[in-house]
Amino acid sequence: MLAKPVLSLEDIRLTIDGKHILNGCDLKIPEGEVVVILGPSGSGKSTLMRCINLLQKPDSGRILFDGEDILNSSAAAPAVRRKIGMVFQGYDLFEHMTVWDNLLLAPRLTGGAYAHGMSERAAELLDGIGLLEHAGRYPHQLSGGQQQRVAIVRALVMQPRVMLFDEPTSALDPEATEQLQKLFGSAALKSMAKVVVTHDIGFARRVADRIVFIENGSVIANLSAQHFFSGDVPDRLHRFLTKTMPELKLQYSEELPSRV
Amino acid sequence: MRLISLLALLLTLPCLAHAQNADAENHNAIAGTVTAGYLTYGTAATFPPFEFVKDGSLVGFDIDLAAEVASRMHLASSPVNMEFGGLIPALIGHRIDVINSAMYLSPEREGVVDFVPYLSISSVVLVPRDSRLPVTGYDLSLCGLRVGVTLGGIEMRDADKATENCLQNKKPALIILPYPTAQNTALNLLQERTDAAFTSQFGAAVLMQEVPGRYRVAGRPFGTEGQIGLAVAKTNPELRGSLTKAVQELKKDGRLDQLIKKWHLNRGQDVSDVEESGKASDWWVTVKLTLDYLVSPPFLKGAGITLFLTTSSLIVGSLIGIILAVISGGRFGFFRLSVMIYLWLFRGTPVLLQIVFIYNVLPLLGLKLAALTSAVLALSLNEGAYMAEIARSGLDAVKPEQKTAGLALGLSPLSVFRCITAPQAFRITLPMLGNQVIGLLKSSALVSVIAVPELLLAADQAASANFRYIEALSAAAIYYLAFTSLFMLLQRYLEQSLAPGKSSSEKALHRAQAAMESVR
Ligand SMILES: Nc1ncnc2c1ncn2[C@@H]1O[C@H](COP(=O)(O)OP(=O)(O)OP(=O)(O)O)[C@@H](O)[C@H]1O
Ligand SMILES: [Mg+2]
Repeated sequence: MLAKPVLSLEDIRLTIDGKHILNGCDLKIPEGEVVVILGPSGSGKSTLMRCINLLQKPDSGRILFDGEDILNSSAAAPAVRRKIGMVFQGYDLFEHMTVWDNLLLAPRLTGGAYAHGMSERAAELLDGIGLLEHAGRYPHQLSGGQQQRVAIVRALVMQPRVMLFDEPTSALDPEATEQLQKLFGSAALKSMAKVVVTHDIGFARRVADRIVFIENGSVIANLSAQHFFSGDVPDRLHRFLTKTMPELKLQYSEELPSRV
Repeated sequence: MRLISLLALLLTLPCLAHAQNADAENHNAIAGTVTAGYLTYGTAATFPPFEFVKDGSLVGFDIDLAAEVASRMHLASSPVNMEFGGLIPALIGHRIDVINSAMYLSPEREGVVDFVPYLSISSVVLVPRDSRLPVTGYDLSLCGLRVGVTLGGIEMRDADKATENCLQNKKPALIILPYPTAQNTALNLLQERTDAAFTSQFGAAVLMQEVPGRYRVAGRPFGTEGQIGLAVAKTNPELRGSLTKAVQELKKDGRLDQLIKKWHLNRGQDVSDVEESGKASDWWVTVKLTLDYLVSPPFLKGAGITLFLTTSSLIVGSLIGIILAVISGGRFGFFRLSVMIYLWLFRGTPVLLQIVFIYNVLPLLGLKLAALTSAVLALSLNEGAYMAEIARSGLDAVKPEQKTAGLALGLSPLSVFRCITAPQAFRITLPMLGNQVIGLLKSSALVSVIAVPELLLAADQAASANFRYIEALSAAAIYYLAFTSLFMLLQRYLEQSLAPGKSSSEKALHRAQAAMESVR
């Protein structure tokens, strides 16, 4: 069953310095679903995420957001980005500000509906991740996991329609990963469409609705998580996984005891 | 910060008003004189009794002479006080109509300006009173000695002639040491950096009066063919004609002789007879005079101007620097090239050259700026070149991810710069900025060369009237040290308030908790 896509990428291509980084990517992000993107290192996953957030302009293709082509629209990039939250691998909290100011900077500067009720929103979200008492701290006074949750809340205060996560678990210990998973299921994020780039197949299994494989800048497989984790994967894909992502295969076999 | 600039503004209001007037007058200048209705003359008021500053105003023989000459030309006289070395450039740059600064006629000078001579002057050999050297006058006894002369004065030629004479007689040449002002020459003689000094007979007379018991004249006056005169630009023969006429009238009707008597120029004929009036000088007098200087109008005004120059050049220079740093980080080849040329020019030449260039050379190219404007412009442009480098290094030191994170939140590039990149860069560069401000404070002293009455010029002029160098320079030093301390405190304060601090943490926590309360 495919819900109406909130985001759909059509034939995205990008060449930098003669190197083909994206080769006609097609991808639909259905409303309210978690789409996990897997793929070998250097396959273009991060670049694709940057394209969705207009931080990188592809050479050709269309990105439809709520039916509107944001690549060729008159809407300014900042207006689009406000509706697409992104959490980076390094979290990138503003180092010169307290947690509280990190959360409020964007809504304050943007004003209008974004600023309306922002303090209450921020306080509630911060309380939800158990960090209300840390509102006065500076980023360097927080653990990696705490920084990440603050970065997620910072994006959520802007009330985006979609959230993008680039390798959210790569620097987390198992406990922090579990908290992140819980956050994914919390009221603030549960019904929101999410795109997650990861190498962590265990995390993927716990959160994904759909699994997408990317290699050399194009989508080579796109199946439901249920289908994928049932173990009934086409042989071609299985061979490919064994070959290109041996480390993934290891986790994959551990996570899938049902597969012989 | 705002308080300081306000203070600077208040202190310098009179001078700003003056600068604006000068500008306004320049606009309705008619051919003939620089400012219509005025005979504008340049003078270096460090040469008593001809021109010096007494109790804050310009006085001296030349000052009276200019008033007389001007009134006979149906003009008012308007002096511009500057360094001696800046006079001829100012004349050529149409800053002034006339040089009236006891300037000796010399073939070199007559090559670039026209003279209207008004007085013959001879020189004397000055030695410390208790000198054991057998100096007997302007003769072979000088051979091989260190002789102080004033830069650009006729004494330099006298010294060259003395050397020639020595060499012809198979004796060692004079070691000639040129100093910027007659006061410097006298002071260095006293401090035994030189064995003897050449100076005008009048200057010697004043010295013996003001600093009794320290100098004596060796032998008889020499070089009576020396003449001093008013200098005008070679492009202005009409002015030269009317000046000549006025001076001749003054000679004829005896007014010139009256002035000579008034300023005791006739006494200089036999300086050795000048009486010594015993002047008490102990440490208390020094302290008292220093304190008097500190609160005297010329020093207050000088300090205000110095502070104004520093803060305004800092602000304008920082703006230039930030804009250049942003441009040079961009990808527009043309801008980058212009920025590189600018940096190359302004970091590759002395500030002093830039100041003189803007004040004296730009008028020749059709851009004539008031002295204070020129000073601020020169210092700002120079500062901008260094600020660009500092700002660039600060911006480069901010992690690019910080900027990306801001953009990803939907902030405009300008907001990202204003709220994320710039504050982080500012914090990184603050120590460098502190050094820069202190450096700027000190280079502001260089603008005395274009007659901006800042602190050092005020001190120099106060000292040249009575030779109280210790007191005048101490007073100036106290101001400089006070400003430096002020800037250092300000830097410390900014550093502390920008660093992650307890108070901002507590405030943020408090706000968050208050917001949570209202949700519950
Ligand atoms: N600005 C750029 N200029 C040149 N090459 C780039 C640029 N950005 C990315 N690339 C190249 O594009 C390719 C894809 O990079 P990308 O970061 O999207 O890969 P990835 O799939 O996220 O890899 P990883 O799993 O290691 O994070 C890489 O080969 C990278 O070197
Ligand atoms: Mg990546």
